[in-house]
Amino acid sequence: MPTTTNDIQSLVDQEYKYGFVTDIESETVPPGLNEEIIRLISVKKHEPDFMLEWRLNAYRRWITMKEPKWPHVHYPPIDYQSIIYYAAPKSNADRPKSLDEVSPELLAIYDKLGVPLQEREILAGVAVDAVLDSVSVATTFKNKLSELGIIFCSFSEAVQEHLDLIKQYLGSVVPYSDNFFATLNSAVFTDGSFCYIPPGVRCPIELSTYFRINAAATGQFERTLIIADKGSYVSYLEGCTAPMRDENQLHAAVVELIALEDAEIKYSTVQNWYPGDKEGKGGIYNFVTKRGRCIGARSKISWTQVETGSAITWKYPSVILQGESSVGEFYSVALTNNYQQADTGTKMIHIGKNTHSTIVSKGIAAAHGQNTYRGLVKVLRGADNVRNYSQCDSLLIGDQCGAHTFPYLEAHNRTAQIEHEASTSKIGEDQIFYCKQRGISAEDAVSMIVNGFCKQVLKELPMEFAVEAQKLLGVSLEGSVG
Amino acid sequence: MEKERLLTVRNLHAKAGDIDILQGVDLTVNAGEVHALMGPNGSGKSTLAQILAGRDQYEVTEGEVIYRGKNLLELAPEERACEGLFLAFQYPVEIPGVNNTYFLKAALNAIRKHRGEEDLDAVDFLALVKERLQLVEMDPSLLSRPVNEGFSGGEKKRNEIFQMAVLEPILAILDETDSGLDIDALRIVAAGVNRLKRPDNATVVVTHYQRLLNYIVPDFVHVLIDGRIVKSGDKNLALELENRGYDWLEEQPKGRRKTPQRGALVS
Amino acid sequence: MTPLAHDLNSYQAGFEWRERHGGGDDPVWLREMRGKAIAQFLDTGFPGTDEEEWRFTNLAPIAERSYRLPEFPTLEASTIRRIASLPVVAAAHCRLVFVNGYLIPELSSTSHLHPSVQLQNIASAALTSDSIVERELSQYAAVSKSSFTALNTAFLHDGAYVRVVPSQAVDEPIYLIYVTVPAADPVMIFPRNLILIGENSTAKLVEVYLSLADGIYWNNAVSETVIGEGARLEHIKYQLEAESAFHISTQQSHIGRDAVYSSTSIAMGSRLARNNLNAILAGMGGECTLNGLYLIAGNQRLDNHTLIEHTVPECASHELYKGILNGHSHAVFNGRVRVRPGAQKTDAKQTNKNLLLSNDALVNTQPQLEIYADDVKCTHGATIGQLDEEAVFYLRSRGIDLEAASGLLTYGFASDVIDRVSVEPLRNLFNDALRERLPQGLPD
Repeated sequence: MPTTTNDIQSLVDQEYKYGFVTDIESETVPPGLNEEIIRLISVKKHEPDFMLEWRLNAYRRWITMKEPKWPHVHYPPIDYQSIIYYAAPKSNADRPKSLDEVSPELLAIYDKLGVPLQEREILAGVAVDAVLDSVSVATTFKNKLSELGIIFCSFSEAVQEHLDLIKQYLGSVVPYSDNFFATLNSAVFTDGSFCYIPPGVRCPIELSTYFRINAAATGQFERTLIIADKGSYVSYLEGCTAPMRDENQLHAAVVELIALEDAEIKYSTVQNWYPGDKEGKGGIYNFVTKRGRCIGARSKISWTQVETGSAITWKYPSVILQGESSVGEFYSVALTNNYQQADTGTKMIHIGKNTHSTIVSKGIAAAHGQNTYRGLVKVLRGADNVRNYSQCDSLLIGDQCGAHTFPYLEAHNRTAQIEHEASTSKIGEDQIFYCKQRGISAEDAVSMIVNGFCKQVLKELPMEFAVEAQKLLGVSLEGSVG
Repeated sequence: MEKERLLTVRNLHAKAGDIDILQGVDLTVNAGEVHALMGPNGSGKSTLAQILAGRDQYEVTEGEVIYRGKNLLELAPEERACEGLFLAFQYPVEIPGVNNTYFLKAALNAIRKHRGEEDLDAVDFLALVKERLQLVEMDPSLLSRPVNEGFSGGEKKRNEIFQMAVLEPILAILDETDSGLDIDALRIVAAGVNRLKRPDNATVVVTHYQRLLNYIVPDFVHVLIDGRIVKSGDKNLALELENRGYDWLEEQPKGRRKTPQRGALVS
Repeated sequence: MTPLAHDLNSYQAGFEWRERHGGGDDPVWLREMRGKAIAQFLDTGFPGTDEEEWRFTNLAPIAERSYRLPEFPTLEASTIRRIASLPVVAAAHCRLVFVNGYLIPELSSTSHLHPSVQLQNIASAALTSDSIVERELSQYAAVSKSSFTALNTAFLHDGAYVRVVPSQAVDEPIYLIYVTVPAADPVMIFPRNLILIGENSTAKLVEVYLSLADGIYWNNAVSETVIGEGARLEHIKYQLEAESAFHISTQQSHIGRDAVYSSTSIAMGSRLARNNLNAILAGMGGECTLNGLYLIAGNQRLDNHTLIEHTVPECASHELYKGILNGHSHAVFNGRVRVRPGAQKTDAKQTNKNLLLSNDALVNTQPQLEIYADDVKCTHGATIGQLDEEAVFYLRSRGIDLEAASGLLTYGFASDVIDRVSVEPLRNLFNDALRERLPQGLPD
C-alpha cells in the first residue's frame, strides 16, 4: 500500500518544533572539572562549608568510578573535561522579583515553548519555578504557599535558608556515591528545586518546574529534593524542552523524594529535549537518577513519565518501600524515533511488610529507535505479603527499530507475589488503511492508535499535562509508520 | 418422625474489607428439604454460600451458624467437607497438573477416613466413579484431564455435580450452578441433583433465575436483598419473582446499599 | 598429572598431559580443535559476577577447587549391576552409558536400535575419521562465546555421536547416560554430544546425568544438536547429579526449516548447576519448545539461562520454565528471546513461574525480549508467588486438608511440565522423583 507508506513518511519528516537558541550572555567558568572548579562553583553560590565538603567528597569518589556500560545504549565517549560546569544568565545579578522584571527575551522563549507563564499562573494556578540554564530566575506563588508552611524554592535558596532540612535529607535517598552520573551531579550541581510540605498539609496546587538547556556545551546538573512530611500530599510536575544544537549535551540530574508516614508524592515528567536530527546527529544525553523513599508507614510515591525527547535516555525512577504498607507506582511512556535510544524503567525495592507496587510501561519504537524497558522488583527477606504487578508493552512502528524488555525479579520471601507480563504489537498498514477507508487521515490514525496504547499511563498525568503529552507523542512520531 | 435439623443460621453479619455484605441472615434447613436462595446481583447470596463453606476472605462480625449441632464457623473448610457439607462452586477452579480422578479419590478417602471408614481401593473407586458419571452424563475422558483445566463452562458445572454424586454430601449448596448452562445441560444437572435427594440430606440452591427451579422443585424459597432474607415462601414465590422482579421487595429508599467492589462479591 | 586448579596454568599443564597420554593418537583435526580451545580458555578464564551473564551465580566454589582428569574406570561387577539396575538405566532400551566420561560397552545397549540410527561414541567415530563428525563437531557451540564450551572442547576425548539418516521415524528413545562414580579426589568430566537428525526424520533423545554416590566432581557437558529440514526431535535432559557435585551444561540447538524441536530440562541435583540452552531457529517455519522444571532445596544453586534466536521469518517458540525452591536454595532464570531484524511473523511466548516454599530461598528471574522486527507476536511473563488461594480453598472444600492440598497443588504445579514429556516411563520416573522431594507429602 504505497500511498499509506507515503502518508506515514510525510508524518515523519516534521522537524523539531522547539528548536531555537536564545541570545542571552552567559556567565561561565572555563571548561573541565577539578577541585578548583568545584570550589569556584561553591563560592559563586555562597555555600556553607558543609556543601563544599559534600561536593568534594562526591568528586573524589567520582574520579575513581567508571561509566556504566550495561545499558542497552551506544554513544561515543563523553569528554568530561570539555564540559562547562557552571553557567548563569547575566541577569542573575539583579534577580527579578516578579515576571515584570524578567527579560523579554526569556519570556519569548517561554512563548515559543507554549508556556505563557503569566496566563498559566492565573488560569491554571500553577506555580512555576523556571530554571534557565542552572539558576532560578522566577519563582511565583511563594507567598501563598508559605502561608501553608510549604517551602518551594530554588535549591540554592534552600541551602541558604533551610540548611537544616538540606543537611538532614540531601543524599538520604541518592547518596553522593550512588552511581557515576549521580556522583558527578553531586559534585557539580548548580541549582534545582526544593520543596517541603509540612505535616498534614495538602498542597493546593500542582507545583511545577520547567528546565531548559540553553548555553552551548553546558552540561546541566540540577538537583531536586522534595520532602512530604507526615500526612501531607504534593503533586509535582516537571517539563522539559530544549533548543536545537549539533553537539550532544549531557544532562545528569538527580531527584530525591522523601515521603514520611501517610504522605503521598506524585511526580510527573514530560521530557521533550532535543532528540537529535533524522540522521542521529546531536541531541541530549539524558542520564538521570530519580529515586523516592517511602520512609513512613502507608506512604506513597508515584512516578509518571512521558519521555519523547533526548538522543539517549537512561533513567529509572525508583521507590524504596521501607514503611509498612507503603505503595510505589511507576507509569511510563517512552518513545524513540529516528536514532533515539532509551533504556528506562524503574526499581521497586520492597523492604517493609505489606508493601505494594505497580509498574506500567509503554515503549514505542519507530524508525531506527531502540527502546528498552529495564526494571527491578526486589523483595527483601523480612518483607512479608509483598505484591507487585508489572506490565510492559511495546509498540513497534517500522522494521528497523528495536523494542526490548529486561525485567529483573528477585524474591527472598515466600509470601511475595510478583507478576510480570509483557507483550509487543505493531501498527499495521491494514489498520491505517482501514482508518483511511473510514475517512480518518493516516496522521490521526497513528496518533489514535498510539494514544490508545498509552492511555493507561496518560490518565495518570494531571489533565493539562496529559494534553501536552498527547500532542508531543503525535509530533514525535511524525512520519514514522512504514 | 421429627426431621433432623441440619443447618441453623442466626443473625449472621459479614463483611468483605470495609463493605458490609450480610446484615443479619436467619435460615433453617432440615433434612429432606430443598431450599432456594434467590436475590438480585450483589445481594449476598454467593457470599453466604462461601462463608458456609469456610472462605476466609469474609469476616463474620455477628451471629452464629450451627451445622448438625456443631459451631460451623469454627471448622476448617476441609472439616466442613468431611462433615458432609458440599459447595458446588459458581466458578470451579482450574488446577493444572492435578488429574481429576486422582483429586476426587484423595477427597473421597479424606472424607471416608474422617468417618472412620477404610480407603476405597482403586477398583471399587473406579466402579463408583463410572456409575456416578452416568448420573450427569459426563464425558469419561474428562476424568483423566487436570481438574477443570480446559473444561467448557458446562463441563465444569457438570463436574461439580459429579463430585457431589461421588462424595454424597449431607448438605449441598449449589451456587449458581445453572448459570452458563444450556437447557439440555440444565435438565441433566437437575436430574442428577434430584436423584441424589434422600430423606437424610438437603440441598440449598442459590440462583438468580427461576429457571432451574422448574427442574429442582424447592420446598422453600427465600429472597435475599441487601444481606437480609426479606421474604420466604413456597415455590410460588419463585414464580412471583419471575413475573414481578425484585424491585417490589427492595427497601425504600433505594441506593442505600454500597456497590460491592469487583471480586469482593461473586454473585 | 598435577590437578587442574585455581591457577589457569594448571589447566595448560593438564591439557599437555592429556595430549601426551592418549590424546596424541587422535586425528590431527581433533588435536587442532582442542589446541585452539585451550588457548581460548586460557585467554578468557572463568567468568566473574561482574559479567551480566553471571551476575547472580558466583563460580568461585567451582573455580577455586582442584580436579583430576579421570582415568578409565575399572568397575567391579557389583558396581556394574548397581548401575544397570538404576531405574532410568533399566527403562532405557537403547542407550550409551558413560562412567566418569568413558563409554562402558557392558552397560550400553544398542539391540533395540533402529537400523537408520548411527549411535556410537565420539572417540571411536573420530578414530575412524568419520567425515561427518569431522565436519560438524564444534561447528555450533562456539568456543569463543563461552569459557565452558572452550574448556569442554579443549579436553574433548569422548561422548556420544547420534545420527539419524533422513526420512526415518525412530520411536525408541535414545538414552545418553552419564554416570559418575565419585572418588576421594574430585574429578572433572567433559561429556560431549553431537546429535544430527536428518531431514524429515523424527527422534527422541534423553540425556541423563547422575551419580552413584555423593561426592565432589564437576561435569562440564556440551551438546550440539542439529535438526534438519522438516525433522522433529524431542530432547529431554534429566540432571540428578550428586548433592555435592557441580554441573555446567551447554545445549546448542540448530533448528532447520519447518523443523520442530522440543526440549525438556528437568533439574533436581547438584550443589551448583548452570544450564545454558541456546536454540537458533535458522529456517523458516521452524518451531521450538523449551520446557523446564527445577526442584531444589538445601543449599542448592541452580541457574538456567536460555536463549531462543529467531533469525528468519515465520518461526514459533514457546517456553515454560517452572521452579520450586525450598530450604536455602537459590534459583536463577534468565530467558531471552531475540528476534533478529527481518524475522517477521515471529510468534514467541515465554513463561517462568516460581514457587517459594521457604523464606530462606531466593529466586532471581529475568524473562527478556529483545526485538528488532515489528510484525511479531511476542509475550513473556514471570511470576514468583505462593499457591493459588482459590485452588487451596477448592481442595479444602472437598475435604482435603491444608497440608495435603498444598502438596497436591505443588505436585500439580510441577507435573504440569512433566506431563509434556511424551516418553511414558520417563514421565513416571520424573513424577516419582518429584513425589519423593515434595516437603508436604501427598495423599495416596
